[in-house]
Amino acid sequence: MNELVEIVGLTKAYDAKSIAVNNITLSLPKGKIIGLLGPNGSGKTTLIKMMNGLLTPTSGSIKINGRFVGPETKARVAYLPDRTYLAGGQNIKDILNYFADFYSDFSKEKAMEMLQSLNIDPDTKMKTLSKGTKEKVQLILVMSRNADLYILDEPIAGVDPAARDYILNTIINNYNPEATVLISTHLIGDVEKVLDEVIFMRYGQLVLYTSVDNIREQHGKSVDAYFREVFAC
Amino acid sequence: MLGKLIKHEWKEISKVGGVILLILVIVTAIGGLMLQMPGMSELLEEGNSANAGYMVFIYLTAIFSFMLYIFMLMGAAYGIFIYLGIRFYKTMYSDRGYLTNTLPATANQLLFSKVLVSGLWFAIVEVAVVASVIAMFASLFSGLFAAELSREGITLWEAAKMIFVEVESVYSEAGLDMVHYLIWLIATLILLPFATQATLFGAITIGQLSKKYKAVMGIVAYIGIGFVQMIISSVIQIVYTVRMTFEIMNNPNMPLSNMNGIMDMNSLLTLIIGVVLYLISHQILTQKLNMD
Repeated sequence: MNELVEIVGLTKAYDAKSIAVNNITLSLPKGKIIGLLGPNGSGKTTLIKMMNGLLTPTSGSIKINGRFVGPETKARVAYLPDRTYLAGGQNIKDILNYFADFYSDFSKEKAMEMLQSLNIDPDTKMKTLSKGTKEKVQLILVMSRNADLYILDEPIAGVDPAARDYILNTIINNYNPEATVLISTHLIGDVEKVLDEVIFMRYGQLVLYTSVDNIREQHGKSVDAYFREVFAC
Repeated sequence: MLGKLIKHEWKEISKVGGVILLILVIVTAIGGLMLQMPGMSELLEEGNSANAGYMVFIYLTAIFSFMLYIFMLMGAAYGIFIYLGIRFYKTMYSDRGYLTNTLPATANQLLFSKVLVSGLWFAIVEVAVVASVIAMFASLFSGLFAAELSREGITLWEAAKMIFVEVESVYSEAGLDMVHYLIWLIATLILLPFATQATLFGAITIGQLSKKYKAVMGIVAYIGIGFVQMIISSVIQIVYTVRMTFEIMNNPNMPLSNMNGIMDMNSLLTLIIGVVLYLISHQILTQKLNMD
C-alpha cells in the first residue's frame, strides 16, 4: 500500500453554522510534494491542524502510516505552523537540543549547517530575530528531521521573494524523497514549480485532487491560472 | 518521553523559581542579620527615655521593614503560583502550544510532567517561605530577646520549649492534637501543591472549552471551582460543629472533639478536587482540544 495518509469522512463543525471541514475523504501517497490550495477560510489550516492533533475532529478519521493521530504519528510528522511557536527567551542552540531530545529523526548537524549557510548564530535568542529569520529557523528545524510527512502551513507567506526561493530550495534539497510534503499556501505561482500534485479546497470541501501535469495537459494552464479560474470571485 | 518532558519543564521553571528562592534567601539573611546586630536589644529596652525620639524612628523602621517582609513572602508565594499558571497557559494553549501539543507524547505525559514539576516548585517555594519565617523568629529570639532571656536565666532552647508547650496547650483547648497537626502541616506542604496546580491547570483547560476569551474563562472557572470548594468545606465544618454541639450537650464536661478532623477533611477535599480536575484536563486534551 502506497498511501501514507488516509482521511475518511472528516468533518470539523464548531457549531451548526460553522463547518470548517465538511466530510472530506482523501488519501495522500508517499513520496509526493502536494500543494493544499484554497481561498481564505476554505479549511486548509483546519485540516492541517487535525492531521497534527491540534484540533479534535467532529467526525471521521485520519490515519498516518496506518495509525490514528497520536504520539506515534507525531513522531513521524514534521509540522511547520503558520506562526512562531518557539519561546522568545531561548537561544537557537537550546531549541536544537530540545528538538534532538524529543525527535529521534532530528539531525543537529544538518540544522547547524543550514544555520551556518544563512549566517544565523546559534547563540542568538529567538526574540532578537526578525520575523523572516524566525520563520527560516523554524523551517530549518522541520527540514532537519527525517520524517515520513512534512506539513508546511504557509511556509513562504510574509517573507521576501529571495527568502521564498531559499525556503523552496531548502524544502526540495532537504526532505526525505520517500516522504510526502504537504504545503498549504496562497502563493501558488511561487510554489507551483515544486509541486507534484494539488488539492483544491473551498468552503471546507474537497474540490479537486489531481496532479500538476494533469492540470497542464487537460486544461492547458498553469496551476496558478487554473486556480484563479476555479476560485474566481 | 516523560523523563524528557520533566527535564525540560524543570529547566524552564527553575529560571524563575531560582530567582524567587534567591530573593527569599537574601531578604531572610539581611533581616536575620539585622536582628542580630549588636546593641539592637539594648536599643529596644523600655525606659530609655534619652533615646525616645530615636526609639520612635527605630520602631517605625521595624514596622515598615516587617510589612515589607510580609509583602515579600506573599509576593513569593503568589508570584510563583501566578507564574506557573501563566506558563501552563502559554505552553499548552497559546502559540507555544503548537510545539507542545505536537510533541510525540501522550496527553497524560504532558499533563503529568507539568503538574509534577509545577507542584514541586510550588512546594519548594512554600517550604522556603515557612523556613524564612522560622529563621526570622529564631533570629528575633536569639537577637532582640537574648539579653532578657539571659537575665531570666533561660536558654534559647528552653524558651522554644516553653513556647511549644504553651501553644500545645492552646491548641488542645481548641480540640487540636498538636502532633496530628504537625503531621497534617507537613503533608499539606508536600502533597497539596500538586493538587493546587492540578486544580489551576484544570481551570485553565476548562476555559479552553469557551469559544471566546479562553484565558478569561479559565480565570472564571478557577474562581467557580474555588467557590464550590468553599461551599463543600462549609458543609463539612457545619457537620463537625453540629456533632460537637451534640457531644457537649450530652456531656458538658467532655473536652472538645478533635478539630483535626475538619482540617483533614478540607485537605482531602483539596486533593480530591485536584484529582478530578486532572482527569477533566486529560479528557479535554484528548477529546476536545481546539487550538486557535
